[in-house]
Amino acid sequence: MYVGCPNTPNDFKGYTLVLPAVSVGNVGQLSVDLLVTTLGLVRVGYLHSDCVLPVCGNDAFSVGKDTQGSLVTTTEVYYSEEKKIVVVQQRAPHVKGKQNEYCTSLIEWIQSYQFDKVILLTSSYSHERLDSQIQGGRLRYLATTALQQTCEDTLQNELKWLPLERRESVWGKSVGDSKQEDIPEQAKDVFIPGGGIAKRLFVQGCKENIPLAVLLVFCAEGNNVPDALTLTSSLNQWLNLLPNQSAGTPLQQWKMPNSWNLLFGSTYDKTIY
Amino acid sequence: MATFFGEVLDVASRAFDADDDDEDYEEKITQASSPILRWSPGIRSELKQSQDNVLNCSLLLLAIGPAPTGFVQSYVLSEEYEDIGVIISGLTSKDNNSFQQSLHTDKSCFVYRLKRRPDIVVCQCNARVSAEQAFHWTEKLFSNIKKSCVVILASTQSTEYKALEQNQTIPFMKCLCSSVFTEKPSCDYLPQPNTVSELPAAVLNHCQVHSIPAILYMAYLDSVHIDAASMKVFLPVLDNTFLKEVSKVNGKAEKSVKKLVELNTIQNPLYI
Repeated sequence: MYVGCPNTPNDFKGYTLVLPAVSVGNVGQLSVDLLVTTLGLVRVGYLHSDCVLPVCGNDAFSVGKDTQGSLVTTTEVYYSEEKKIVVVQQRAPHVKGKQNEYCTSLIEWIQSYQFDKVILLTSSYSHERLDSQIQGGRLRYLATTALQQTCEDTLQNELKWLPLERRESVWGKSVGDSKQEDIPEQAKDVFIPGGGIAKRLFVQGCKENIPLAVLLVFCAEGNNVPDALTLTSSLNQWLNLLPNQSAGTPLQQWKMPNSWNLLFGSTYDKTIY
Repeated sequence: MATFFGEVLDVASRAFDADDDDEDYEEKITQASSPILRWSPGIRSELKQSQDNVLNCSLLLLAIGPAPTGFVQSYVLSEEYEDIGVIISGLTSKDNNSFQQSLHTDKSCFVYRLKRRPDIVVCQCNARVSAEQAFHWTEKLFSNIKKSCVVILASTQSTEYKALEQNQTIPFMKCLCSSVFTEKPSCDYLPQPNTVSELPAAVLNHCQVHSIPAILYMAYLDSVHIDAASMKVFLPVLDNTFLKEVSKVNGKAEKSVKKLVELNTIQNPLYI
């Protein structure tokens, strides 16, 4: 699955891995765009998999107007040795029916490269919120037992983040539903509508004892740039990636890449009126 | 989500497909066949004799879609060539395959080699290869072709092109190339935020990941059916180092282009 670029490091033991899930509003992916552009992360490899639809383009993170012709592919891996962080950017949805296979391959890669912790950035439909979730902050988190041992104190007490509320299925458990019994206690009743592979990866992460956290914001489809800024700023509060955190609003702190131009398509042809 | 009149609509997300949550879906994955590659008997014996089961190939020219395949047929395959293989993908039990790409259910893509230059391999892909099959299709094609230079020709609608100012004369061409491709391209690079998807993207991604020099020429056309202008938009590609010797100016090309346009018009009698 992982193919490294020539002449790049191949040892990420102890690094933090940040991944996006293809979710409502593409918030996780927008968030990763902000991280790569602002921190100046360098491409170190690709996740070459048949589980993701193919896409390619030019100069996703270039600055300025000239097209330099540097190709970007479907799923790429960026890193910073200084910040000890590896970031994956996925630009296309999964092939239908291959999400479980993708999660399994991802878990194997995470285990073989011995990342210190894994953070999945995603989002969830805001219209599916419980009454108690409608007011207050839109950020929630989930952590596997393996991660709670090291980070629970930071997340709950220092950062004062709210864990995602559990939701039992209103229809109860169907007779002979053996799949529910396979799910570890830590991952039972997790409900992330619109979250992409977040729930699947979390369940597998619990089973395989991966130090994994899922960070999500509630949002709706539309202009999701503010949601991405919220998510990235929250991540920064935890990981301390930017040198001076207190300077400016999120909009001032994070640089937007060229690939965000024309986010809603070209302008219309005025001569038709 | 409730609307102004009170009815409740299902909210669709551009990023996330609610069907993907259905765990049973994995068992219902399409029954269409995965790609199958068959080489001709001559090629099979060549492969057996070679060291790593690899064809001697310095240039792989891949044409995807009606306009690119029409162009290659007129300007590159105008001289003698031999059929060396076929890749079939996405066949279901209800499909008929004519092996001449004349039925709408044809799912075969043919591979040719020029007799005068047997190191140039041409793959004509007129049948649509779905995005889900594109990865495996590419792996099959490259299983016996390694480390050659790759030129991909593809086309799409000009409405897909995003730019601040829409002042391009349609049809026009843009390119993307892998990082190890060192030659000068025959047109401008595809600017942000435009992307390429499906089979052309799968092939270019494969070349990028495996450090193979490759270039993709994407033509933006305004006609759904092929016409002479749609095919001739690729003419600057013939300035490519490898193709210069192959494509001599020949009178047959114009005739061939005209014939292809006529054939296409006959199949689409709507506006006669």
